[in-house]
Amino acid sequence: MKRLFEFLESRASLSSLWRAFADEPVSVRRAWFFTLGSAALVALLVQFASGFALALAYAPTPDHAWESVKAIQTRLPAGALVRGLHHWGASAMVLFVALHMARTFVFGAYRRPRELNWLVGLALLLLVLGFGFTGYLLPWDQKAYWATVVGTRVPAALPIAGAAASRLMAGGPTVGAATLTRFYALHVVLLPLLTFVFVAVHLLLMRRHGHAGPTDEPDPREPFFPYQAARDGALALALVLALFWLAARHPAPLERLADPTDTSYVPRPEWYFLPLFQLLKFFKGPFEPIGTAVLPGVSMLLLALVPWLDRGASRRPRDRRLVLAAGGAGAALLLGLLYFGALDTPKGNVSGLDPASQPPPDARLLGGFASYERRGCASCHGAEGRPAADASPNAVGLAARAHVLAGDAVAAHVKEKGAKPAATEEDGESPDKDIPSLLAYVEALGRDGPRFSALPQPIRVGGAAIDREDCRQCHQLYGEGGRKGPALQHLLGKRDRDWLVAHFKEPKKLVPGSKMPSFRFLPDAELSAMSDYLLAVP
Amino acid sequence: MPTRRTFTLAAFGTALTAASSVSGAVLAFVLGPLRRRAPQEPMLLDVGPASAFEALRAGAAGPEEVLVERAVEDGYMTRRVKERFAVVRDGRAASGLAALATTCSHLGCGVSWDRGRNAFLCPCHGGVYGPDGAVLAGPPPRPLTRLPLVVIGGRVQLDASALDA
Repeated sequence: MKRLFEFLESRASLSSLWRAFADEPVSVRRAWFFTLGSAALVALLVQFASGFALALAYAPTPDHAWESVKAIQTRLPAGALVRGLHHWGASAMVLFVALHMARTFVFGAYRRPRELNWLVGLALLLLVLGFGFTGYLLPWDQKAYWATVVGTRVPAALPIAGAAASRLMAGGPTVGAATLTRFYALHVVLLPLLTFVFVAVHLLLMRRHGHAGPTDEPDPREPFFPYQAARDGALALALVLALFWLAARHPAPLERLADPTDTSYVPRPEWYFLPLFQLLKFFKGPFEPIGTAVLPGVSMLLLALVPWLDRGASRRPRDRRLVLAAGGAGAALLLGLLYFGALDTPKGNVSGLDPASQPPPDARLLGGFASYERRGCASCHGAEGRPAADASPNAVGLAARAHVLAGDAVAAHVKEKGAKPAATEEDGESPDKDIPSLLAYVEALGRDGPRFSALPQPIRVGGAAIDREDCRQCHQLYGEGGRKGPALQHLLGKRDRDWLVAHFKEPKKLVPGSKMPSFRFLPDAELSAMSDYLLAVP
Repeated sequence: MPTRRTFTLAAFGTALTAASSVSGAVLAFVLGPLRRRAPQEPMLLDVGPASAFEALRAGAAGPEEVLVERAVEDGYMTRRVKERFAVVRDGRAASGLAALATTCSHLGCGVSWDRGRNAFLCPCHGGVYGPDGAVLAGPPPRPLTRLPLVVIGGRVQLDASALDA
């Protein structure tokens, strides 16, 4: 062993390098504050390792991206764990880079002679955000697609080169195959290379000028090894454990396959872009570039100029009140935008593997809701059984009524007053066959007044179609219905929308010996909505 | 007799030329998407039978959303993509109808028709458009893109040649 070390020392002066590294004098006071940067570095290493693993199984094409990510998430060994680490590691990167930067700002550690390293750090912040932006397109799910549509269109409103920049980002007029390959190349080739170089420069410069230390005297020093190394190590260990816990307990989400025609989807970016997203709501028409470019650009410029704007002799907070107040105001603004952006994020997105999404209402109620609308019940009883405030005195609300009329009386009333459904029932079915569902809906209105109009469109349309086509004749849904076919539950993960639509059209082709009739006569949009509904049923 | 100085200049010059040639080639490739294709031939896409939009044309019904499929060139492949349009009433058009792209003019999110509010709503930054696609509220800078609809042989056709221009 001793001879190995002697060999390494004589050929590569490894021991001397280690000594220089371990004996670097670091501050004793405020020592924990100086662990944030190394935590960011640890998160970066986690990203490199887990990202390499993911790249082994990922295919950057619109036809296969989602499928390959789904395979990683559900089938490949340790896939969900590695993807979870990468997903949460990304947030950890942003968090620790931000904390590290805030620490540097408050301590005034960017002062001469460390101005250049402050700029390198700022570049690293932008690189980390670039990783985030290019990274979450890759799964090609709904969130990926729509966040990128918004992101690539942000520069479009800028004067002169805006449209060209937007086109270059997307690799064409719209987000598609070319966008995916571009983002993939940036995410796995260019950004990691740049990050590696900038991190190396960041560390070398840090060692060149040493720790800035606390903001006032005294500043006793001790060697980096072992105490500061132990602190760094403790935080790093806590971070890695937290990432494992998060990856195991909160799997990285994968929403439905990207669908450019789904206008019911409510796009929201990752939390670290939410302040920017929220900002875009405030600038209208020609003022849009203020939110997209001027404000973010000016903020970055001010941050870059901080070492030259704040150049007194003392680094103590009480001597830098103006700078700290400005920085605090900026941080408060950012957090405020994040808070209001988060408040304004609806929870109702129907997402493929998102276990948190609400189960859809019973198909019968949705069928009843559809016939309530079709038969014009709303003209007297108001939308969803709630007459408008200025409705005529004859309007009778139905929501949350104390008593409910007997079913026969309601059925007779519907037949008398309600608009007849159009005579589309070709094979001699009763035009009033929707009445039982309508009664169930009205009864539910009287009981607890559900609101369905806010549901995503595919859920409404799909549930109503499942009720109308009487799938329950053969299938159990929510524990009710026939037993000729398999129960309609737990489909998520086993089937996807394309399979279900193909199966609706030709059941025998996909399930040999199936006795289910073909539903190819229904419009594609309806079949797709029925699939969405079924996939959302837990 | 060449000096060290001339050698250094020549070496730097050569390296710079080589490096910028490689960078130029890479840059030309990266900037490829900026080149626009020549305006396409009129491309008519079927939207549905004219009879389906009678009520809309008569003003008795609101905008109707339709799915239209077309081929788009996308990077290295040609893909068939479905796009959602809203068919609306248009008194000036010979067909009495026009199609609105359901893409928000602000940042490209998908807008959808809200019957209750009689408006197209964008879920992203709160853009609101009237039944004719005009901006009623929110940040959108322009109305929804309007595309002509023509009726040929009883079928409503969408002229998609203006898309992606």
